[in-house]
Amino acid sequence: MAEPEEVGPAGRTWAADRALTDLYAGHWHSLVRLSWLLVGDQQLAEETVQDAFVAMHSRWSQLRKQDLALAYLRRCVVNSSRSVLRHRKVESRYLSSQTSKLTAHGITDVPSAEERAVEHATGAQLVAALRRLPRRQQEVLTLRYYLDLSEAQIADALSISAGSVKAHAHRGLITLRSDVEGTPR
Amino acid sequence: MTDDLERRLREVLHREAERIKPHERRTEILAMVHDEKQNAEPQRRWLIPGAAAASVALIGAIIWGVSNTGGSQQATPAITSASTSTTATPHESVAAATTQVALPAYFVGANSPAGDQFGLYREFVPTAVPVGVTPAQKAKAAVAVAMNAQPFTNYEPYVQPWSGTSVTDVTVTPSLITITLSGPGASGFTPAQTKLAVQELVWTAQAAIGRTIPVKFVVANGSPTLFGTYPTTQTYNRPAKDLQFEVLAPIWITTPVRNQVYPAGAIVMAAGQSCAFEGTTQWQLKKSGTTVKSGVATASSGCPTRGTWQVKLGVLAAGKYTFRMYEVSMQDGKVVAETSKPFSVK
Repeated sequence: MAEPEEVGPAGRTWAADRALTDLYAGHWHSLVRLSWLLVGDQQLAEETVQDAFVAMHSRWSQLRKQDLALAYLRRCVVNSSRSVLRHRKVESRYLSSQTSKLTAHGITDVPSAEERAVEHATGAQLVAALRRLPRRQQEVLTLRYYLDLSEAQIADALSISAGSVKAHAHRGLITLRSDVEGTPR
Repeated sequence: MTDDLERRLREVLHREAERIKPHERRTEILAMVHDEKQNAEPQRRWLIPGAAAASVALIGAIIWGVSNTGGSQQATPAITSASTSTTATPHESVAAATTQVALPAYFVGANSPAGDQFGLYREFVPTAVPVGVTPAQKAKAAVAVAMNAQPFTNYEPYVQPWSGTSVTDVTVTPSLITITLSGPGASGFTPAQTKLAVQELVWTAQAAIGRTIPVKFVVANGSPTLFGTYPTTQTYNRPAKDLQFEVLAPIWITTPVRNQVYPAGAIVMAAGQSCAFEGTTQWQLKKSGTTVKSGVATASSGCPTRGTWQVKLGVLAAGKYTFRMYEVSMQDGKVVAETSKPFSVK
């Protein structure tokens, strides 16, 4: 869609509103789901993406094009999801120090062979293995296999080089294969 | 190389992602971008969940703007926009810059084609307000919008009980909104309609300022009642939550908004609110008058609690569509509530 020539703040706000409306219609659900895959909490995911849209709107005068705005949204979502996880890690460390018995029980609660078989059939094992990966590898694989982004797009979303994307994807897949299929790393 | 693991990973991630149904938040987002206080750095809600919840609730109540994209009918809310112009009102002799925002306004409309029951519907209407608008100015602008249903009557079942009446002033204190009207309202409306007409101004003014404080009416010509029935000596408020079904229309479609345009390939979701028996309503998707999809939606709550519902329409072929949501009476099979919204995919 062609953007109108922007004249002053009024034109910029108009264009930003339209971009926001279009991008919301096309990408709200997938971005919330992306964040949900990264943080595992729907409300936090929605709030993360909501903040990303607000930030995108306020920076529209620098972005000006929908593809740039979408890339910006992805960066915001991934970065904010990471912040959420970081905060949650601090929180869970605190909670575990308060409830060490309960947490210890949770950690040593190994699934039975039957549970493993069911997990495998439903893909839960693969998801669990993905969530155990280092953060970067998890992000790369999620962006690649959920959003089907190219290496260049993933590099942009994560603010890393294309070479790093390739390396994280490679290492992540090797670890997953080892965890899920039992092949040596 | 795409091997079995990669294929499974792709499938599993998509399946996992589909487990959640994101809620519609466009209203909140547009409220945030058009609320000057929120234009600063977005809050980190996970750091202060209590404050964040309160903030979101307030923003939801303020509801500054849902817009649609490229609506062809000029009278409809087309898009939240901004413009700078100079205006002079009787109260402000100096020229003031204005900005255009989408104000929430409630209208009295028929619940179904039968036209025997009425309720309130909410619209977001682009309106010019002064830059740095005060709550009272917002409320006055919103009430003026709500009193003029005419722009919508070609395609919505709205009535015009405030025809010939205008809002002359609105004042807001921490505990009271006072609305001064030029007259007591039009004649020829049923008691049910005039009761809702009073409520539409109450809901609109409260939504504009984001607080559900009592509303008092003053009639400039000295009339002691509105519509000859409702005394101006008393204050009015929204009903309690469990009684709001008596006032709000049973079904609202909040997404798509009227004449919304979806880009080709986008997943189209419809969403809204309802107060239906067991939360169950039925829907149809029509393309050029022909039903192309239909189904049943279950809201998060059944009446008397108002629930929210979502319907995934999926990726649609380019064209013009109408999404219709309706409730059928279990007793006699009649449609007791119905509303629809046109949209298109390009």
